[in-house]
Amino acid sequence: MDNAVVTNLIRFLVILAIQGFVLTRISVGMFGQFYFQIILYPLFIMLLPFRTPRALQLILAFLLGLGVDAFYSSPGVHASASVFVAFARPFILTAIAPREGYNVNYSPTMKRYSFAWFLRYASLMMVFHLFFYFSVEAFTFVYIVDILLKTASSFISSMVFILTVMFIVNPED
Amino acid sequence: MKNLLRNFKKFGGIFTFLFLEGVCFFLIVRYNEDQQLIAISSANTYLGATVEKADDIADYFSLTRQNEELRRENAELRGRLDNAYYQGSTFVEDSLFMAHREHQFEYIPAKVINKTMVGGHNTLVLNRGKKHGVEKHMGVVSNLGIVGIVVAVSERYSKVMTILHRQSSISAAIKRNHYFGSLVWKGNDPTEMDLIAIPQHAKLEVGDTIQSSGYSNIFPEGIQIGKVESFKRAKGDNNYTIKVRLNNDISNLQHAYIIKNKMLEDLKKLEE
Repeated sequence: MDNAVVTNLIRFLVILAIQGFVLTRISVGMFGQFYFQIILYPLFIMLLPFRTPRALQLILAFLLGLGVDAFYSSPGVHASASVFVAFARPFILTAIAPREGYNVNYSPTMKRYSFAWFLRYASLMMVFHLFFYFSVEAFTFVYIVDILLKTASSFISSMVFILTVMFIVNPED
Repeated sequence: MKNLLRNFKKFGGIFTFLFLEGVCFFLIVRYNEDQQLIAISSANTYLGATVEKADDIADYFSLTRQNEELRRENAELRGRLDNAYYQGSTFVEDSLFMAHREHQFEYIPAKVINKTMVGGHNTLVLNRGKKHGVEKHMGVVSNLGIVGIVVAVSERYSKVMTILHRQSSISAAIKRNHYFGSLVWKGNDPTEMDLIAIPQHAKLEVGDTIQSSGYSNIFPEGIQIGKVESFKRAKGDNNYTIKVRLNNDISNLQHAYIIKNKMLEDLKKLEE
């Protein structure tokens, strides 16, 4: 058992607990509509070490999504979005790679790289995640305006929350 | 064999991705097609025990007990309302004949311990189950109006499909002239619902009270639901679609009453 496994296991449980027990309750937002949701759990997928095997990333994302689904009572909806974003992660990382590239032994964190870099990384991940999630939730593109609106508003609230968490904890790996 | 392994290493990510997404979509489709199956498979009723513990932290100890007592008292009082009785006589009831009336609707007090208020499929979990006499298909009301219908029951908890659910349809009537239709939710504003299938010759006014019709035998007649906000008739449609502003806001609901219809068996016999 090396350190990274333990760290990530604890992170998995803590993030799932926060999302499930606390954030499910603050989903109701302004204007009498369910537009502002706080989605924190993709942070776990974001922070996985670079060297995590591809298949393991996907399976972890799947399990985390299912766990969140249990709280939201929507089997598969969160899981599909979270698997999708885990699949997209290497492509996003390649797209925004810094000039000197990545160190395989690190995790993509704010401390290792820069705030600007992390902001770009987290934003891309969250946009993909939220858009996929709200699309699957509606299950049709008939409500595309609704989906985009929900993605935009939940993006703001989730990003604020995620960045706050990162500033408070600021993990190295 | 070596080739196969090498290929798997190369494309393993994509395979895993496709496989897991397949599993996800299987779950989602099953969920969308038949919400009843999902109600049973949902871990929600079982997660209830843990969630209730988390909730207790927010409750002050004595307040929990006092609320419990008040709820029980409320439920009892509701059970004594006029609409809780079977109308045994076709004449106007006189207080003299009160003793002859048969009791039809009983109220079981419950506390909301978890709610899922996201998207178009909103559900609640209540801390009353089989042990307390809750059964599937029982109605749930709050002090301000209708909440939903029980869709799954475990030993101590029950899961409620709220009226803010795309599959929910409640029989509701206009209080003034007794025309009735179905109350459905389109999935955006949680304080507004649509009353459909009201014939066009019905006289309507903005502000008319909408109440439960009593035809479903799940809810007693006369539970206030909301007020008419606006109504219109689509071209070529003989029926009105009425926008109803709800009295209650389910998203901040804390206490609810489960309604037990003691004469349901009788009615079922008739319909067989």
